[in-house]
Amino acid sequence: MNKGDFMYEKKTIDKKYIIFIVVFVVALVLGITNAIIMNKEDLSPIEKAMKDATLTVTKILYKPVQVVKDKMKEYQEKQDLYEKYKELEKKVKETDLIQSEKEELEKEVESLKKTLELNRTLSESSYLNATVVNRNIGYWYNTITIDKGSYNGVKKDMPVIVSEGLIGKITKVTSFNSTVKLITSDDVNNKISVKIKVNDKYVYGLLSGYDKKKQTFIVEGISDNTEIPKDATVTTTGMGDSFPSGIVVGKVKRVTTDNFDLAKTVEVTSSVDYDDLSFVTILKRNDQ
Amino acid sequence: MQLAIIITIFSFFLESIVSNFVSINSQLFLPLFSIVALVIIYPYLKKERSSYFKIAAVLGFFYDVVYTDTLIVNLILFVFTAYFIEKINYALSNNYFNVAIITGLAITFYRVITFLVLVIIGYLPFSWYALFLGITSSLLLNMIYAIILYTITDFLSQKYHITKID
Repeated sequence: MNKGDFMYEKKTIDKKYIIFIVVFVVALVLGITNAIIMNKEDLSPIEKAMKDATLTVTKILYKPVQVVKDKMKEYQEKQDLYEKYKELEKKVKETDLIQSEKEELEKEVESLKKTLELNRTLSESSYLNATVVNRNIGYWYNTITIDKGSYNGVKKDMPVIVSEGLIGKITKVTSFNSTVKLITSDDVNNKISVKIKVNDKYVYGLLSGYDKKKQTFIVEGISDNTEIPKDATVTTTGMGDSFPSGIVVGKVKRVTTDNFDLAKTVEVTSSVDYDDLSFVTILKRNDQ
Repeated sequence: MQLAIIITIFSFFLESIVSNFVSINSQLFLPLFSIVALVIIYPYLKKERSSYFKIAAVLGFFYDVVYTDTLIVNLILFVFTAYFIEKINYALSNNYFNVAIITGLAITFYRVITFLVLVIIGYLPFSWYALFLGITSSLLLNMIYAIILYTITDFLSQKYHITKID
């Protein structure tokens, strides 16, 4: 064997070795990622402490910026103060009527719950307001971080809403912060049972995804043949562990059926302004 | 080394703050300043290769713990991205134009590998449009940030005679 042959042989072995390492590393990365991302367990105490400490620094740094942001918003709002005043005046006049209606409905709900043995409705929840600390940093995960944690009674899987409707649920909780997974997430496991109000009855379906191009939610699995009108309200059903019944998801934009007119797909637009998610509300169950 | 650490910490926190001013569905201005920091600090750590990769790993680790709750996933992806940045730097020298190009390539690389990993493990459905949007939505703002950060750090390195290999 001359010197050239020896060098050639050595180079071949190196290549095989590199391919083995690359394959091993890729498999390891995929394995670890799968185990971590699909893991529904709580964060470890060390992770919680590190996350809280770093987010506290972020909040301190963000404070002066937030003051400027609020002042600018305040200035913009002052521009149309008169229109808002008129609108509020009108709403105040309607309040008395709504109050008496609400009392009547509460009695009705109570009696219906007893009859139907329902155990989860929106009226059983209390509200906890929170401020958004950061928004969708991981991009693919579609999450936001809020400034309330287990110290404030926040627990995993609690629904998170804004005044216009549902936005997501709590997935991770530390002492003073929580992560909210948005319902606009592409996550294939993120499905929610919903109902669509058509006249006096409900049509049930499954909110299975979000179309980023059209910016609409997709509701599938509707077996009912009832005609679904445009602008019908879509709310949660209360089936499953996470969301109580009656949280608004959005309004029907369009209904399409397959070639055999069997399966309906409903496009739903949310009235939530995802461009301006600064304050959110956590729905805490009163028994939690 | 000190300048590199300051840039990294500054960018890490700034990313979180800026995210509050940008729409979640923004198609142009999503911040990814931590990756930009890896691009900017490379010329300062060219002679300290191991320090560069250590910073990338620590940055990825904090990114996991604080922002994405995906312990060590970003640690690995940030180290891969740092390696990719190192390779591009062999081909391109550092100037305003090239810094923007390297940032664009590094962000594309990071977004593509993250997306592929999430698709392979079955977390996300595959969609060319989603991948395209993921990349394009992060390019413009981060390229602008990279040029600004490059200008500032270049000025500081000249003023305080900090070693930099372009």
